[in-house]
Amino acid sequence: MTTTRSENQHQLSKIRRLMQGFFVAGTFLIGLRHMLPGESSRGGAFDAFCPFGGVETLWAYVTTGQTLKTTNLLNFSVLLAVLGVSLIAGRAFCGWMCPIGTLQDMFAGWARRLSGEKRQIRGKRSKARFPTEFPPRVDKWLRYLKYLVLAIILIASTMSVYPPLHDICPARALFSFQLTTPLLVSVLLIFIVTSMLVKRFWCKYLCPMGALLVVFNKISPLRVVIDRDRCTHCNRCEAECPVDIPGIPENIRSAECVRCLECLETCAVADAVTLRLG
Amino acid sequence: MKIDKFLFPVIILAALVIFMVIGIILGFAPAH
Repeated sequence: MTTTRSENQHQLSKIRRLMQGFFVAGTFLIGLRHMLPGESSRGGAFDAFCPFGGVETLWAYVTTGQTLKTTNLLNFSVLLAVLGVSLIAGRAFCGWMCPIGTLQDMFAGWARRLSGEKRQIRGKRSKARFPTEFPPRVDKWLRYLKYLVLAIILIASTMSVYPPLHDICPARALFSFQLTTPLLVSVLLIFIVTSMLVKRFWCKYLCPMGALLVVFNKISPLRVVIDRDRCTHCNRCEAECPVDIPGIPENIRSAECVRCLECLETCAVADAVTLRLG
Repeated sequence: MKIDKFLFPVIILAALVIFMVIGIILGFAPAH
């Protein structure tokens, strides 16, 4: 029996939420594990499970011959896994797995409800005051900031003992249960506030891991394709995009795309947006 | 080639696990 489009509608979004929840829970347990006494607290530190910790320590190792403290070989495995996903599906890690991205989506949802939206209608621009967007020109330039953050961290990795992102990483602030410094507490508060004010603020403007994975959006064989003859330019896809890519039909291969497939889920025209290999 | 959208999460999860296992087989795992 063939399944109709309406039966399938939004099922993928539910699967994505489920998968995001799984990765948040996993990261939460990794953070909790290091709080426990005895056997369960052994193994690498919280930083050892961070893919960007792998980038930092790999860069330090290549340039200075030394690995960074609180990182270990497991970082390379986690990094390899994230690069493997990206090699096949672009920045799908950001859209489906990254716990920081998931929490930003959650905080944006809270902001929408707190600023008056009772029910979000799929494919329609939210009328809630928050989260809001920067003017397109400002947004465009701010998006380059993450590449600067990546460059600064890589340079700092060659001169530091600990991973440079260690003290300002929102994942540590959110999941490590070690809010030991005022700086980390500030990071946590700023992260929550900015996520509520602007959708995926960290992903769009600051995330060095996202900046690194951008290149895979250009080379990955699995991609979202829009049939321009079928596209009605209704902008439903734009309204649902978590990273606010402007002019989606033209920019479907944007470096900013996190491959969440919300555009595919939201499109009302059958086969106008499809997932393709090659 | 068109791919069923429901295969996407399966593909990325499989890629994550496979590359993670490759990393561990290559020796990128903490020593106990």
